[in-house]
Amino acid sequence: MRLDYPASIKIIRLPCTGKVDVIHLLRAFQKGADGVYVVGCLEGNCHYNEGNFRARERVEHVRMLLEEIGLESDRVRMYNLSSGEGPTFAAYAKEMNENIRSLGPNPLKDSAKA
Amino acid sequence: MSLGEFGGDGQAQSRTTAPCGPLERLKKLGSHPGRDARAVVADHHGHPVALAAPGDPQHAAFRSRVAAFQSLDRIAAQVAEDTEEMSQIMKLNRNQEGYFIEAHVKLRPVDMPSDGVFLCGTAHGPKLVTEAISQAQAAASRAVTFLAKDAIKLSAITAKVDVDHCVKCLTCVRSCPFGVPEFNINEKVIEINEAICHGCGVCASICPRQTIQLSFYDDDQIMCKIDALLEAEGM
Repeated sequence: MRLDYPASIKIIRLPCTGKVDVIHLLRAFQKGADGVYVVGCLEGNCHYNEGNFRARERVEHVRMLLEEIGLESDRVRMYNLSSGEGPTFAAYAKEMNENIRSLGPNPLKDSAKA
Repeated sequence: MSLGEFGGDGQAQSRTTAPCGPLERLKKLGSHPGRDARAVVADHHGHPVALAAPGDPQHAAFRSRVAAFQSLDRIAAQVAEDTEEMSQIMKLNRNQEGYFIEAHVKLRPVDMPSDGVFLCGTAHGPKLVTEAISQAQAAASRAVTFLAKDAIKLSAITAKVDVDHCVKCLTCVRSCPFGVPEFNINEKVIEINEAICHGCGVCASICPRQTIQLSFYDDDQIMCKIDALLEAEGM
């Protein structure tokens, strides 16, 4: 479709968002990521039944953890879309990019470099 | 050849610049308020090639073509609404208009992303009967390809249990969406049958002891990917 999405976004593919664990999201912040977002199937349409609900719960848990350690909880988000919705994927990518740019860089980045 | 309408005062109606599919364009044409407006037939560059006033036979022909497209749109839209239940039961993805999506437009035009399900006819999109028939023949051939084999190759992305460290909490047994892990009472181990494991990774992520790993998507591999991607950013 030749759509654009920001180059600041790096993608890790998984078979189902149900595989995403809290430790993976936190590892990204530990290594200096400014933001992380999980993109899964539409709710009710998970290819493997309810994996995306598990991911949603884990993302909410990580948002709570980030608040506790002093990072903005909006640095981690979850989006739901259908695999056929290319333009929506690009739109969410741009939205998340804008969101993170407004929040600023990860304060842990300097300690990540060390 | 594109069809357009001018309002009674001769001004061109604003053409939408938002991206819209053919169905959207037809809907806009059909809902034009100026039913007695003059009709303009334009070529694909937008240059008018004919002007027909109401009462002119060309105008009537134009309106009837628009009406035919409108009813096609209604019929097509109705087909698309029926697909929601099927899509939820079979876990098939649909596009924005509600039609099912093939695995690849050019390389796998009648396959669906899930193995063993094939797609043809108006479930794929509005099409002529001849097209629907060709597509149905293609889908049937693809299905026969599947059935004609002696052995089927399965995906290697399956979950594996480290039986030495498993504490038999049975969380995986209770969490698997497909009921694949089984507790073997005699051997006292959790067994995950590779042939029926779908490779979703829910058991791997839910295991409290992290003794289940999904092939090709080990926790170590994912961590390495995260590290590598962020290192490349100079972080």
